[in-house]
Amino acid sequence: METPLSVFDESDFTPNDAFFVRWHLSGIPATIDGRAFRVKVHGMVARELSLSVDDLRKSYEPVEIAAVCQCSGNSRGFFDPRVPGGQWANGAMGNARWRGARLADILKSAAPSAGAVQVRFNGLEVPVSPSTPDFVKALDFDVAMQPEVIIAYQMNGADLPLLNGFPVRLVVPGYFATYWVKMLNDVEVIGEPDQNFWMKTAYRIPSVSNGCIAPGQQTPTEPIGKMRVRSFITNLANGAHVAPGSVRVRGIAFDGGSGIERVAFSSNGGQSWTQAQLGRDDGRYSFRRWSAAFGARPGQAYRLASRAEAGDGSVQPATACWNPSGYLRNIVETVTVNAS
Amino acid sequence: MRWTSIVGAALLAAAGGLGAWGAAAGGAQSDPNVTVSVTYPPERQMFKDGEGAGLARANCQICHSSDYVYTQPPLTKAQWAAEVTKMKRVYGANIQDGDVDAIAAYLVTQNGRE
Repeated sequence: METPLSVFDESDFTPNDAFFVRWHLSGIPATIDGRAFRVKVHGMVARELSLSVDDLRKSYEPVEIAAVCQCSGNSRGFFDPRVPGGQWANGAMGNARWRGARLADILKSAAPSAGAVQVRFNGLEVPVSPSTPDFVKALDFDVAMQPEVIIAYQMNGADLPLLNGFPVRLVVPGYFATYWVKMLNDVEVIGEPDQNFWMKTAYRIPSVSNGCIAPGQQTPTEPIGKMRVRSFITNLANGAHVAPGSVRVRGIAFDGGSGIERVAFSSNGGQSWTQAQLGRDDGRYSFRRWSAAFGARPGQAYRLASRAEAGDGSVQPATACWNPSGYLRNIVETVTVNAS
Repeated sequence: MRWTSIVGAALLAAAGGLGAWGAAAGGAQSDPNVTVSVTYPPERQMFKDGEGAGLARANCQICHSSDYVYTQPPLTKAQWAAEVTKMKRVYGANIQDGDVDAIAAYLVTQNGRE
């Protein structure tokens, strides 16, 4: 289920009851006892841990971070030629304040061995058939030890909704949501790259040309990782009518964690650009809201576009990325409105 | 209810059915030492009648809804056969070899192209 873009126009943070939801397997618990829930930490560690949610809240320093959670396949429905998979529009994303314990602090308390290569994550989501691969994901050990990676027990100041992973989920700011394992109950330190299906076969991008290829082209692949810079107009939808005069346009921008440097706005389909005003800075992993204005004359149509530039210098492209799984779309999006 | 419904693997979204979890787990509550439940909504539709519909109902809807077929891009019979084979070989669906062709033939009548 995806979030309508108009919801992103209401505040910097996406309400929990409007946040997009996506699972992989149909064995999702319908009831969870938060008191009985435990996160097991094991594998190549000197001290195995079994942590209750209270342990996570009280034994580790709480940290809070604003971060965008975006499905790898967000906007897949716009791929041309089209590709199979969930046919998302642009709403498979959301921004929240996540509160939890640093994964690094937890791993350190388990004393990982020097040979640690990756950390593998599993949640309560299970397949209905034993022949279907369980949903497990892995991060390189140095990524897992980054201080912004947390096991979150709160989302926007409240418990996580069950559909967003109650009672705890992994939060990997800057990375696509496939790594943000929900109902996380198993953390395993491993000594070699994970060979499970969801790392080795699925959620992979072409390891050439920035992940974008021509249809039919065969290339080696690698696991998907960080998000690409994107921006959207949130207060005007395609085909909207605006009153002649000065029209205010609002939107959001984000990237994989270098922060939004600037957003350019165009009311003529990208022929000319002006600088948009950036809104409050909630941190480099958050949505950054922006606004701009243009003069509308009666009877005219306007092709509105926004183009974000990130702190790492990356800029949204004018042409669409294509790959067979429908990942990484970040083209400059346009919205056509009519003044009347 | 504020979602736009697309298809998920399992959660198929007759939006009304999800009101309950918003009340139970949303709000401003912050005490994870509770039991949280949801009621998943029922299937919105079964595979439509037609030759092979029974096979599709029996083999596909164990893991995902029929919506997941109807919202895909229209595929050729060969592409549907490849999808069914993927479900069998990659995702472990217990589909008999002899049924792959019949299921693909049905799916192309539901959401297909030449």
